[in-house]
Amino acid sequence: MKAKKIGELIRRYMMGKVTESQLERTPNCPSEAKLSDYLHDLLPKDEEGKIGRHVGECLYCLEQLDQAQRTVSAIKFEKTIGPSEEVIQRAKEIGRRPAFERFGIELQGSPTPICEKCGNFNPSQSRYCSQCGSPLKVLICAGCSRVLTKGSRFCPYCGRSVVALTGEVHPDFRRTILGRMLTGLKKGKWLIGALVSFILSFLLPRFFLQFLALAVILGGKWIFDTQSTRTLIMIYDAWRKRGREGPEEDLKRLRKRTEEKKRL
Amino acid sequence: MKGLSDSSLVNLCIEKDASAWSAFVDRFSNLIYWAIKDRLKRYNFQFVEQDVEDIYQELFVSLWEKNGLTEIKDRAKISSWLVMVAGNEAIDHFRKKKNEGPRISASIFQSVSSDVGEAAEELMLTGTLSSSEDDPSRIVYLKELDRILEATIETLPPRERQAITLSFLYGKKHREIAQLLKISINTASTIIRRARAKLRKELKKKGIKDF
Repeated sequence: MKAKKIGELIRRYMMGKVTESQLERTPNCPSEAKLSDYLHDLLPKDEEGKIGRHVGECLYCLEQLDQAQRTVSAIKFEKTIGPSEEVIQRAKEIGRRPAFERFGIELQGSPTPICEKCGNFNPSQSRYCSQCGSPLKVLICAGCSRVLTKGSRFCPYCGRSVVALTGEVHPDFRRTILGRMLTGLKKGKWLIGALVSFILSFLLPRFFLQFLALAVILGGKWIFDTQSTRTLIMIYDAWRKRGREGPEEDLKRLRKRTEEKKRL
Repeated sequence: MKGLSDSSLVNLCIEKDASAWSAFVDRFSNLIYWAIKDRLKRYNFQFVEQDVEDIYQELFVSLWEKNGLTEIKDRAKISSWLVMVAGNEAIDHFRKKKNEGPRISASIFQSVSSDVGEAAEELMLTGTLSSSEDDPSRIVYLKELDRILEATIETLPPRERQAITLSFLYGKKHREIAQLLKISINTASTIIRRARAKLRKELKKKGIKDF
């Protein structure tokens, strides 16, 4: 009883000291995510100390932590009456609205990659977010703005073709068998042409030399068109432009740099 | 979707899965609704059911459209984060309303009397207190009481003051104080016991022995 009395006296005294400004959010207040991490011991020690000091002086943040703690320990919300069914349905509808209404932007004809981290919409062929640099994994259908399953050629919800009006196909959808075949055919067009000419030269002996010459030309084109050959040509050009400096100079420079790094 | 863990459900919502969103709304509706109402009551705002529904809807819209769910580090512990976000959304909603309309009292503790003298009377500090409000000895006595409290509480180190605030102002248990201040339960208990003993000692010195 005595302990209760003294506690009440302290409580009344402290209540009198609370000002309204202490209950206002300040620019120094940490975000809810940080406070939640603080509560669950997920922060590094220095940051935890910083937030701990702030919380000691800020009743706004203390109020948040108090509420979160009460939820975790008592789970009072289960006993309370929730919102009406109509209100719940309205909240569910948010996830079904078309893109323009939902995000305030008009999606392009091709599937749009959306960033999981910052929610930014990126151009259809993007691999990384233009805002935060995170890898893009989620694609949204331009027709119904729902998430598309990788590898599908049509949206499972609205049936819209993944190949957009612009003719662009997102890189993730090129991974289908047909997509892979088409890409392969595009890349090896010169080689296929050379092989066909070579076979025709035997099938049509009258034009043997002509087809053989065509096969050599197309074969050459294929060789010079490959990425590795183009890289070799670029390296060769770079050496030539430097004049007398040959590859040995480059090797010397490289060795020097490696030694410097080792010393550091 | 019902058997999914909180973190898997949140991940699917981030990927904008409509059915996962529907399950998310079902799972957390009551929690959010409770959090909004609880904070509004704590801040002594005058509200009607329509206000709570508006805040609830605003919160879900911002969670979906601004990808708010991506902010959480440990998605398995989403409940505490959601409660804080919902509470703050409620405060922001009413602050906007307050700016537009007449001023509304907004203090957690304003609804309760904060007069030490009244408390002392309620606590039956009889024998030392006279019933007349104008009695000079009564005024001197209350001033002295206030000074003792100030000397005891305000001179405490910040960490100890925090523990006292949580214990007496928020009625927190020692275990909860330890979790919030990142100290051991024993340390929390010692701080509170020491503060009580110090105050009792000071009061005894002044001849108040009812504690």
